[in-house]
Parts: sequence; structure tokens; C-alpha cells
Amino acid sequence: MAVKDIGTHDLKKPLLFSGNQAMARGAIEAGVALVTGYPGTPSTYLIEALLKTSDLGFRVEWSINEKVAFEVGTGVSWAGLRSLVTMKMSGLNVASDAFLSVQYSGTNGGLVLYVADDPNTYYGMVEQDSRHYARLAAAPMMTPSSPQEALDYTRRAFDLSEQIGRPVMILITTALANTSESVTLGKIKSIKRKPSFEFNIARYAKAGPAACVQQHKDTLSALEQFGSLTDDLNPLTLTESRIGFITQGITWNYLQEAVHLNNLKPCTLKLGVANPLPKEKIKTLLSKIDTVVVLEELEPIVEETVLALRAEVDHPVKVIGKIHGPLSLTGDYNIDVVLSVLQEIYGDQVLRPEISDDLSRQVQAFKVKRLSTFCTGCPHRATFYALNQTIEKLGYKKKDVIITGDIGCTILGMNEPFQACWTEICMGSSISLAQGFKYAGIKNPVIATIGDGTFFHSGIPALLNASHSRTNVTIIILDNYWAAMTGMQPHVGTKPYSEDKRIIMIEEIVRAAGIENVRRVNPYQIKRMIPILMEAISSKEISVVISEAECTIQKERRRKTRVSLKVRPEKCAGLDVCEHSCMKVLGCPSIDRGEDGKAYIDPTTCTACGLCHHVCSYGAV
Amino acid sequence: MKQYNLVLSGLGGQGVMTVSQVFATAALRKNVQVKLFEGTGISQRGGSVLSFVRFGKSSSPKIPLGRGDAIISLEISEVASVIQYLKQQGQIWTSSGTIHGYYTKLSPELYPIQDDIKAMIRLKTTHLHMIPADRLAQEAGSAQAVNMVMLGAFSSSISFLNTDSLTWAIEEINKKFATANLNAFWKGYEFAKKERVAE
Repeated sequence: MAVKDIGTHDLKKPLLFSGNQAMARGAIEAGVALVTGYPGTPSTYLIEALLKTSDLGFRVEWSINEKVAFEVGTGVSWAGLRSLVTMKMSGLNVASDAFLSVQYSGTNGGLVLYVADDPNTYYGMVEQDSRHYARLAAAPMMTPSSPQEALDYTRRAFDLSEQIGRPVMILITTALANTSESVTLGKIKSIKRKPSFEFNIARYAKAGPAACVQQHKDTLSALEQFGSLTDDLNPLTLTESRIGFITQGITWNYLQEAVHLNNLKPCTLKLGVANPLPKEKIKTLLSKIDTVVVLEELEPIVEETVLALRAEVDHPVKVIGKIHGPLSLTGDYNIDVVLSVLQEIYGDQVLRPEISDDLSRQVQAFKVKRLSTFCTGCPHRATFYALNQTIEKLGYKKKDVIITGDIGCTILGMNEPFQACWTEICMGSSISLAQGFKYAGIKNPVIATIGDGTFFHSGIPALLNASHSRTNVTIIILDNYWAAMTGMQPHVGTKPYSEDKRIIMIEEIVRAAGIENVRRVNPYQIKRMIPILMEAISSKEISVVISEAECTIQKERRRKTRVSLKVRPEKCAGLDVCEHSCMKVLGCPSIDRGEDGKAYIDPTTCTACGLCHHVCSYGAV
Repeated sequence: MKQYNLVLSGLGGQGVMTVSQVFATAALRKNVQVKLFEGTGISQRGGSVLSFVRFGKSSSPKIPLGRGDAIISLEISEVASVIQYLKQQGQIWTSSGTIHGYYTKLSPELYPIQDDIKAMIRLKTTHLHMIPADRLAQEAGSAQAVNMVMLGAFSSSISFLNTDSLTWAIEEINKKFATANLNAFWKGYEFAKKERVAE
């Protein structure tokens, strides 16, 4: 399905939508005025889909970080119009301060907060269950189980938000973001509202204890109201069976297929709302069964409520979930997980596939170990190569110089062959962590590495903090102009980009922070790069090196002709002979092993960055 | 139509997702119910990629283990990544091509031997179709189009989607490279057809 069809007015055309595309469509149909957020897989593609669609008639843009995105969305909502704010679960942590406060203040125009969790962390980071945020904020949260539901729930969420006067959260997971199915579209609403905002500090400020406690009370009422408006999203199906299943979000699909395969007809409670939980319905279910299985990924939130409500039912009910096993607190679910639970309950009549142990062992043996590394020609490869060389030249052993890493493509410096980044906490932490190591008394140089997008997102306060205290850390900002890891999104410093946007220059920010030792250098110029790094690292004062060159993938997209380097086999010592071979030292994906054991550069992918030429001591490139 | 579960595997950049999009687009056109799951990860930077295309009625986006009808793999070692999804005696269509990364380029002995891979496959099925997709893609004039070669080869074996709908979908999805992709598609199709006749 072509992305440009997301905004179509042709409701008859059959279209395949992913979870994200469906939610983008839901926002369009709801007549939203703003969609903003910060890139973070698997949430990124919602805004990407909108950015690729023309003639939407409303603003779609990336914000500098999730907190700012949420606050900007709040401005639109408080002025009476509708906004959608998107982020991955890690981003919700960043936005949470604003989100909690706004949940308590309330909203005017519908404000929908989209969060994508990632059970099994297919995309790294903390395997957190963001349903806890709904509890923490007393916020309503919807959990669609399919792209169609994702579309319908999103569209409805704006109406619900306006009915209760509060933000509404929608939670999806990676599996739903990556699932596509045919969806039925709705008409696109055209909302024409004049913006307005009234003075009311009891509502819009946190003006003292009385007002704040009242806000809390009102938030709890709004939550209860949401519950009564969304009873239909939690269908309870009672059958003759004394066994019941409760699902949350996508686990419904796994249950459906598992019971269908085995011709079973248990009672089911399908939860499309994670907060508030429909306690009366849960009690009704418990009163009709002897065994209940709770199918929710990650935390036993529903399970704990079930255990509490079990006490109010007149007969004993067995609860199967995570607390006493067999289901796991970590990782994601799938149909095989559900089938194994079914087998425990219904016994051997349950169809399970035969997975031979012999085959499993062999499969493990055949898994080819693959390296996650920088793309061909990436400037970060040059920077980390130069950094490792510099540390060696300064007479330090690798293990004696701490290098902190940060989120994004730069963190690939942690892998072979560089193994340069030692840490990764959250956006912008590299600089502050480095400051902490110095405060602990580490005498050797401590180096922070951070990308440009990440620097703008959260690195600036840490930079100011370190500069203010004159902490002697070295900060390398790897500026490749784009938020690359998430798919090349622009940020406030991206150049070249849009003519109506002001480009913010990293060097000016660093100087404004009072740091005089700042150099900008092209990392491919290794001979210039190494002395500059040496100077920065040896300095007794805080120093910044801005290692600057555009992301190669972006650059190549604009290039008309292809240039590549070649290895002269007669000069190449051979990959098994050469101690510091280009391949071993750089790990560039375009360097292959030739038939003769010599290095061979793939001309279809090489971008002629020149690093291998620099590294080769035989002059073979 | 009766449920048909297709598993696709390969490495990031090979175009596994494009193939699954072609299947889904063609199915939609023919009013065949279809569900697609795209399993990425750090795929862009050298990692494994898999996708599930489920034709007919299904609930779970992911195929249960042992219920896949066929695997299409764009790289031979990646068959191992998904073989447990295949039913006993299911179909395996794989490129004979290998893609090496950092570790196996430095130490080639770390890459599994083709005969060993075949022996592993035999534990699950005897229906193995090995396609020299790298060579065929080159012959078609587009070394990048291994994915289209495999799509063409596989399509010669199914009846619920005909080549008309698949070639239409190929063009729909990428008009710019349609000619190159279609050349590769037909190369794979013709090769597989000949192979069948020869059996």
C-alpha cells in the first residue's frame, strides 16, 4: 500500500495498513490540528507516514524531544484544537513530567498520547510496561489489538478526551506496529475551531495545595467517567466453560487462534482498556468460572487486580499468570506461549507442533554471528577509529580511558572492531555520566561521545552543567546532520533542510556555554582529526570536538554518480596475513574477502570515504 | 481460501519487506484476506529480518511454530532463523547465495557448510528448492534483485495468486525500478518452471 493513500477520501478502496499507519489515519479522520513527537522505534513510522502524505491540511512535525512535543501538543489542546503526540516508551519517561501535570490540569481540544512499548526489546532500551504511567497519572489508557482497532480507537480517543476533559493514552506494542491488515476507513472530519484560552489558574497552574488536590480529585472522576463510556471496549463472552481467559491488547489475537485451532470455547474477557480496569466485569467472569488465565505482556497488572477481586467471589478460583508461573515477566508473547498454557490446562488434546530437539540444536549451531556496525562510509567509523588511535598515541591502554556512549548510531561504537563506547543510559546521559566519573576522582581522561540529534534532545543541560563546574571532560559531538538510527529524521540542527526553518549551530551553543576549547573537524581527514583529539583529551579544561560530516546514506541519496575505491591485489598482503587489515580494523561492510584471500572492495556499495586507504600500510587501496 | 502461511527471511537490505509487501498488495487486489507481519530489529545495519504473510483467515500476526506452509529465504544461512516455523514436509525456497559479515569474512570457517545446512533442512522437509538467485539476478541485469528472483521462482508453485496479480503489485510498489524488478521476477519464474519439468 502506497503511503500517500493514508489521507484518501476514497473509502471503498481496499488498503493494507500497519498499526502505525492505521493510527495515523485515525488522527486524520478525527480532524486533528497537530501531530508531533520524537523519533523512537517502533513509534516513528506514524509521523513518517503522515510526513509522506500530501495535502493533509494540518501540521505534522518532529519536536526536539518528547517533553517539548507533549507541551507543544498541550498548547494546541488548551487553545481548543486536537493534537496527537507520539513516542516510544523511553520517550514517555522524558515526557512524563509534563504529561502528569497536564493529566491533572485537564485539556480542552482532544489530546491523545500515543506510546509504543517494546516487549522483548527488539529495538533495545528498557523493557518497561508503560501501563504503570496510566496508573501513576490516573490517565485513561486504550490498548487496541489490531490495526483496525488501532484506527477506530485513535479516532474515538479524541472524542473521549473532549468528553472527559483529559488526555487519553493509547498503548501499542512492537507486534501491533509491525502488523498490517486490511482496514475499513471512515470519513475525514473537518474541524474548524477558533483558538481561544481563558484565565483560570485553579485549572492551568499548580496554584497551591487546595487547587492541586482538587485537580487530583477531578482527574479521578474523569477516569471513572472514561470507564463508563468505554464499556464496549472490554467485551465479556460467557460460555458453558468453567475456564476463562483475560487478554490485554494484542494477546487477544494469540488466544483467538490458539482456541480456534483446538476447537475450545472458554469464557473470555477481552480488555481494550488498560486503565481503568472493568472491575465489575472481572468479578462477573470470576463468579462463573473455576480457573482464569491472565494473558498480558510484561507486568502482572491485570493479574494483581484479579487476585484482589478473587477474594470477593464466593468460591475459590485458580489464577494462572506470572506471579506463580508459568508465564514470564519478561519478553513478548506469541501464539506458542498461549498454546503451552492451553496444554497445561486442557492436557494433551491440545495441538502442539513437534519441535525436534535435534533440529533445535542444529538451528543454534547454524545461526551465523553477525555484527551490528556502522554503514559503509559512515563518518562515525572514522571518528571512532581516530579516537582509538589517539588514545593509543597518548600512551594509554584502552581499558584505562573511559568513553561514555549515547543513544543513536554513535552507540554502534560499542561493538567490534572499535569497542569504544562503554556505557549507554538514556538520551544525553553521556556528558553528565562523564562528569560523574570525574567527580568520583577518575584521574585519566574521561571522554563523552554523543550524536547531534541526541545532543539537542537532552545533551545541552548536561553540557552547561559540566561547563559551569569547569569539569575536565572531553566531549565529542558526532554531528552527521540527521537523527539517523531511527530512519534519518531531521532535527533543529539538520542542514540542508527546509528553508523556512532556522538551523541551530552546535558550535555556537558550545561557545555560548562558555567553552573556548571547541574545534570542528571533518572526521574523514584522519591526519587532522588525531592531533585535534589529542589536544582536546590532553587539555586540563573542558574541551569539545565537533566531528562533523553528513550521514553517508543521506549524502548518497543525492549523489548522481558512483565513486568507489579499489584494492590492488598485488600490493595486498592478504587478510589472513595482515595483522591490522582494513577489514579487521574498520569492519566496513563493503570490504569483502576475495577468492585469493585478499581484500576486495564491493564497487556497488563503496562510497569512497577513504578510510581503508588511510589504514592500509601496504598502500594497496 | 484455506489458510496459507508464508515465512520470509533474509538480511537487512536484501528486500525481504518488499517481497512481503508485493504478496500482500497482490492478495488485496484479488480480495484474498491477508495479514502481514514485518519483523525488523537492527536489520538496517547487517542483521536478520523476517516477515510472515498469512493468507486466508488468521488472528495472530505471527505464524505458530510448525504451521508455516513455505519458507522463502534470500540467504541460505537465514533458513536456520525461521525453519522452526515450517510444518513437517513444508516447502523451502532459498537462494543459494551467502552474505558474509565481519566475523565470517575474517574467519570463513565460522560460516556453515552448505551440505550441513541441507542436512539440517532434511530433518524438517525434503521439499528444498535451491535457486541460484545471485547469478539469475546478475543475468537479469540487476544484482540487487535477488528478492524478485526468489519471488518469481516461488510464484511458479502456487495457484492462489497468479503472476498477473504479482507483477501488477511489483509495479505498484515501485514504479521506478519496475522494469528491472520484473526482469528478475521472470528470470526466477522461468528457472523454477524448468526445474519442475526436469524433476
